[in-house]
Amino acid sequence: MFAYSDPTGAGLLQQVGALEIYREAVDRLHHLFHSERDSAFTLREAFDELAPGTQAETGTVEWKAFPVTAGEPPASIDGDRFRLQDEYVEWRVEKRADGSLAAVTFITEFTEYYEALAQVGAAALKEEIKRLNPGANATNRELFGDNFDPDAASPRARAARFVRHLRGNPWNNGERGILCLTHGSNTMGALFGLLGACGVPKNVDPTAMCGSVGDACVPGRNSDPAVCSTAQRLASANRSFAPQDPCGIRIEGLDRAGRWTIDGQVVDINDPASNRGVWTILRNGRRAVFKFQGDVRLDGARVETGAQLSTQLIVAAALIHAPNAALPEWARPGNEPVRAPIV
Amino acid sequence: MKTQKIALLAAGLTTLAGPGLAQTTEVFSSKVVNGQVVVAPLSAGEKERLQDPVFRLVLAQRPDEIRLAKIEEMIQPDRTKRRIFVVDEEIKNPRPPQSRRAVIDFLGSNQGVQLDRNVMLSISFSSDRVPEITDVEAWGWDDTKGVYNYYKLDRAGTPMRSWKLRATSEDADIRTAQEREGSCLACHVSGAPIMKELLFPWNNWHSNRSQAAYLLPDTPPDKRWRVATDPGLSGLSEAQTLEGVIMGSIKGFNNRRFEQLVRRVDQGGFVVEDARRVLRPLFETTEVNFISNSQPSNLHPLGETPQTGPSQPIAIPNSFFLASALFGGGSDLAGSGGLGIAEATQFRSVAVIQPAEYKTLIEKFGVKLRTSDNRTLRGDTHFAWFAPETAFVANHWIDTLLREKVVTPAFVAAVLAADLETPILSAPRARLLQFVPASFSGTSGEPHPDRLTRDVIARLEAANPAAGSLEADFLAILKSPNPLDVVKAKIVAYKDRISQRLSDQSTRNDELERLFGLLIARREAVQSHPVLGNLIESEALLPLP
Repeated sequence: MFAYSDPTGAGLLQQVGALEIYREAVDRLHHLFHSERDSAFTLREAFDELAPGTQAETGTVEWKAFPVTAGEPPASIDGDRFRLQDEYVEWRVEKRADGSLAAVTFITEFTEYYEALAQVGAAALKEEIKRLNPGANATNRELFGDNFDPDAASPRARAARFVRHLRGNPWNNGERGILCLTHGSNTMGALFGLLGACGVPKNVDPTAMCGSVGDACVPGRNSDPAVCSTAQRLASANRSFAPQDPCGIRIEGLDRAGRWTIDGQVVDINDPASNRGVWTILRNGRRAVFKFQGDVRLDGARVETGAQLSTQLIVAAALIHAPNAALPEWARPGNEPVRAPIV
Repeated sequence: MKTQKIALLAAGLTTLAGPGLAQTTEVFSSKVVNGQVVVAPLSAGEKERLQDPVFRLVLAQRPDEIRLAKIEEMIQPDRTKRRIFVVDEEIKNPRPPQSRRAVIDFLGSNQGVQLDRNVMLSISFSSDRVPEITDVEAWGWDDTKGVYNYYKLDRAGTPMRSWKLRATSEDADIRTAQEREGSCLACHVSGAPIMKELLFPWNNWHSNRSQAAYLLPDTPPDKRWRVATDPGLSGLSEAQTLEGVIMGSIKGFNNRRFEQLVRRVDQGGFVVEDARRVLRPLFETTEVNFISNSQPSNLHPLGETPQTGPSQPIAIPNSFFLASALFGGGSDLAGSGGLGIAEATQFRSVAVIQPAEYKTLIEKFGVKLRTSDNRTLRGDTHFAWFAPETAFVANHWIDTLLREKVVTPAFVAAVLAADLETPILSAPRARLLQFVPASFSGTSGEPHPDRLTRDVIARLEAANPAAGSLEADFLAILKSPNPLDVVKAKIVAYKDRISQRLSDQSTRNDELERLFGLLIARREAVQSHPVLGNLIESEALLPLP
């Protein structure tokens, strides 16, 4: 099994003994979706066994966080996260009493990270929530819902319950905080399924591939077709790929084409040295916070919704790839049945 | 574009770099005077007023420089901070030899000049290479004056290639069609930069949604063009990135125009001296972009995909039905909320065409594209349902007026509801502009009916419009206590009617044909429009019968 690293880079997984659990969860998904027949989506460990003299390359697929298929006004998109925020990015909006924005927190973390913590115990989850929300004192009821004793449950039952209750969990559903991707389409399985299906080389325009893989790819989105066409292009060029470690979606920054001012002064919003702490990317790009301190304007206008901010937000998935011929025999397309067994 | 006579200048030419590269050290202006293009050297005073990056970094220093790579280098020496975006109406055709148009933008700064979204070059290149010397169009944003300056490096009017200042954006919006002829303002109608297919999925652009694989260096050699490995194409980028840059440029431009056209006075007051000019984009279609469904039609005759029809249902874009960007906001309005009428953004969920139906429509209407090599090919655009829509530059302008509380949401809603179902090129709605006073003043945030609305109501009442006329309907909405509610009800009824006609199998086909017929009519209307028609650079842009 590949030694997948903590996606947040924060170290808590290792600290509480959850890193192996997380690795197994990610590895299980890799095995599940790389097994698509003839797919160029292979296992991450294959890239540690490349033919001598071959270097793996890493490419990123970028897209904007705004859910282009939502078809709703921006305020509705802010308020209906679990139905509308479907680009592997979700956010929480905090407002002041006058209705103006106080902060928007974006997240791209998959549930697997928190499931691993939950398997270790409720205390690990609470510690993480405290790190994200200083002073927080999450309760078992908030995290798991009514009539559930996490201390008496098995690790898997505890994790499953935590995930099932994410929409009711005030530390995740926006009431008091936000933890991880919760929209039904924003799952690691969906991302891997997309890579698996779109990684089967077809004699088609790669950008048309999304429309021919069924439910694995939603053609109208920003994210799916971009990921799908990249997977197909690599596959068609006889290259295999896997999500680069740490796997997941990374917040890259705000579109540099936007002109930001704070109290009338032009700032490079992506530069922590000049943005006065307004925009901070945290946890290895899995979380970012935009604080509305002072008169913050984009192209002369105040930002009124998180959705409006999401039109500027660029996220990316990184793929490691190499020529099929350089991969170990077991990892090449067509050899899915002989790839390492499911752990 | 029409050919015009060019009056030759009497300009001094200076030999600078040997016999092969005799170049002028002059920068010229190119103006249309009485139907003739007059080219003359810029005076020292004129040069002094040009403060955009093109002039400061290139023309003021080396007006004789005509090599593309050197020009790029003068603007931004760091090659990694240059990007090139490729567009062509025949971009899906991978068979060389061909040419492509490209836009080059620059990041960062140079010599203290900020480059991001302040300067762009436009060129053409062949399937073999990016030319060393070619005609170059360029624009630069002059932040001191708040205008775009448009230049061109070409041979027009001079014995050899030379740089000409061809236009500035100042007062561009009030130029007549005749005044625009032969000028950059023929296409840059409002004066701002243009990306015709500005929004997702950027039909005709190399993008993450539709890659021109033959331009990518990692495409197998037998499938890529020679130019793919040309250093001039090394910064190849994609349309989704350019979208943000152009949107940002337009927003900045509109913000400056707002400062120029709306005078602030004490205590939240403002004065609009030329009201009809300021409000014209609300009543008239002053500029268009093109939008499409996000699905490939799989009926594009230039691609290599079998013409089997779409693989997924085709949702007709909201903007085809009404002014959805301003009514509902969203990504079409750079994330702004518009008037907040959610129902305006839900047409595409009820107007969905099944793949077989779409293929039938394309075949039945017999739409065709005309290619640059004079072939007429039956078929559709790469992405389905390619339609003109109100340009972002106009929508953002009205949104700016709303945001700055120069007009009320009620007033904007009432205007857009007039001839609601004709979102672009509505002659009846344009007619209503006559009821706007020549100028108006007000106080930001004044509730409905604000001073402007009261003035328009008075003018409409004085005209005593006939019952049932558009003017009478407009008046009734303006006089209602809450026009937003009235307009919302109209939109809901409209959406329900479309939904009902498409749900009923006895009316569905007729309705689909009616809608497709409207699409064709709008394409034709844009093509034949005296100003907007200038945007049609190729007959491969719009499929027409």
